[in-house]
Amino acid sequence: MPFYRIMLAGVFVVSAPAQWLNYPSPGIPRLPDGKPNLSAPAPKAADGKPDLAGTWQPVPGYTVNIAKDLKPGEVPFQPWAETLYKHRVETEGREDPQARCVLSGVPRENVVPYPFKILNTPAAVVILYEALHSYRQIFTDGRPLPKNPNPAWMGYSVGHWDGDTFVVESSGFVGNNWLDNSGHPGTEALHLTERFHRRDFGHIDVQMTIDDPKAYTKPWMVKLGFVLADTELIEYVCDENEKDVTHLVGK
Amino acid sequence: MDMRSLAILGCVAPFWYASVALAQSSGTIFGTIFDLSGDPVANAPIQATSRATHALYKATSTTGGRYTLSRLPPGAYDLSVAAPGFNAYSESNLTVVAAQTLPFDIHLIDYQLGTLGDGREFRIDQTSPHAAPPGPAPRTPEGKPDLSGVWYAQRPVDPGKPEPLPWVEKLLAERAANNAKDAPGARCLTRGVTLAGALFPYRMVQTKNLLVMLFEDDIPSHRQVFLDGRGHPKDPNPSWMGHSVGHWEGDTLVVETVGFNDRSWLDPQGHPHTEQMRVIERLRRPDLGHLEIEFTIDDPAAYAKPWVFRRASDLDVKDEVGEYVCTENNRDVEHMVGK
Repeated sequence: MPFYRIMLAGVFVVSAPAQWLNYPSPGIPRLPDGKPNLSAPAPKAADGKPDLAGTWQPVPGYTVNIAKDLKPGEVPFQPWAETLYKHRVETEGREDPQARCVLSGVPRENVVPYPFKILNTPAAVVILYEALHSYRQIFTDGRPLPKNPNPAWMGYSVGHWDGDTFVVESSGFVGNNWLDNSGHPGTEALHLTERFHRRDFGHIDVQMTIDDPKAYTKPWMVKLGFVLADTELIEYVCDENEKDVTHLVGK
Repeated sequence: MDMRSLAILGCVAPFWYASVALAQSSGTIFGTIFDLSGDPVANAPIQATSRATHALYKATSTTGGRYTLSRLPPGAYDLSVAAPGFNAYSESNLTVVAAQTLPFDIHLIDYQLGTLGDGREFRIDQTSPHAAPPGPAPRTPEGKPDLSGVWYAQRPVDPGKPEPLPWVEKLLAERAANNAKDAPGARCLTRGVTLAGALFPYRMVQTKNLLVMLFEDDIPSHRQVFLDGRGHPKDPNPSWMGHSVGHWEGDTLVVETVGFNDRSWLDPQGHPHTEQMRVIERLRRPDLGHLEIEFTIDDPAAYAKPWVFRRASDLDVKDEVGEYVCTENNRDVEHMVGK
């Protein structure tokens, strides 16, 4: 199933069956050749803030290892978390919940190679993910994070603007989170801070601070990004004809 | 029962004789209504419809689940039970004979599997009318009604009357006979457009060019309705949710959806459809607290006529849609073995 979109993309080049996918997003400034002008200025919402709305895809490269730009030893693991991480790597993700069609969760949705759509509304920023047909709500109505939330893969998120940067604070995560495909652990103590900055029409810079004192000795930070995707989401039904999980046997 | 109460009221001979005469010339159906675990179902409304005269006879089950439909003129009857939290039940062509009592027990099928969190009580709570805040429907800057908000699951207002083609009748009978064991939802497959909002709360998020529905139900799932004037793709990828576009007719949002696969169930009974199905939804928000939805199922390969049914949702001002991960610790599917 994770290969579905990759396969479709391959077919798309030769036979173009996919007008569904090839529906150019309205409202995107375009170059003379019709391609999106990714370096055009970022659009503004009615309140004058940058509008994050659009269909996006994570910058490639971080799917497997969210910490790929960090030097070895820079991820400040607690000993048990390092042991668990090594186990997950050595067993080739055999226990990956996402392979069992459980949600990817946050922040993993920021790095898996599927498009997602951001909607900007007065009370919330809503993200529709193609991956696992899931969604995320980031409340912007001024409410605080709940003190004792029901643990969730997506956590509970509130957002506010810091100048031109949209700052999202999240907590309320499940205890057996995978932050990326290789399985950097996250626990229910995770407090995630994401800073989203739409630097131009086609790019959002993302800075994430992972503060999870149960799994890590101190907060650590990664920088990645999103690129505008000139496409439409397609339906992803993980449990339909799922044939992957039986092959997840480790080494 | 009637006779006793009449006697207690001190009613005299003519009534007594009339009752006796009626009892001799009419018949009775009685029995107990059970759920799947064999427990009695109280307060279930049951009705018998005469096939000859279309006259309706109604009763409600007692706390012990018992019902009595008495004083039925002899003839053939269709029986139906519409109890909250259960699939609609019907049995056709029961024969009532004068001065005889027909024992007939009924076994209802739960909407859900009765597992923690999605049991019958939850279903009843979701689909019972809730007090909604008063006030006018909010409007968008463009002056259209804004459907945004968290809504309780859609409760049936008018189930309509599907006219299934023979292959659909046959399939429905099979699905009823095997206790709906192949329901896609039990295998964490997407519910489709008529079911996704029918069991759990959902949030509508309306922007100028896009209406989004966030369903608590499912894996979870979401649905997009394009309001930017685009049409349908010519050859859409068949999908559970289809491809939806909407336009306004006055204050009614008319949503047309095509591009379905043929796997989803339209309701818990398992009404099927084909890839040719076209669904029209007419959505109205008459005031702040209420949403009205009229569905038209247009699928000539499955139903002789378009099937129109109506539902309503109340605004939920207390809750958000929660996270529902169907595949996490799913213990149900191994029990879906049919009869």
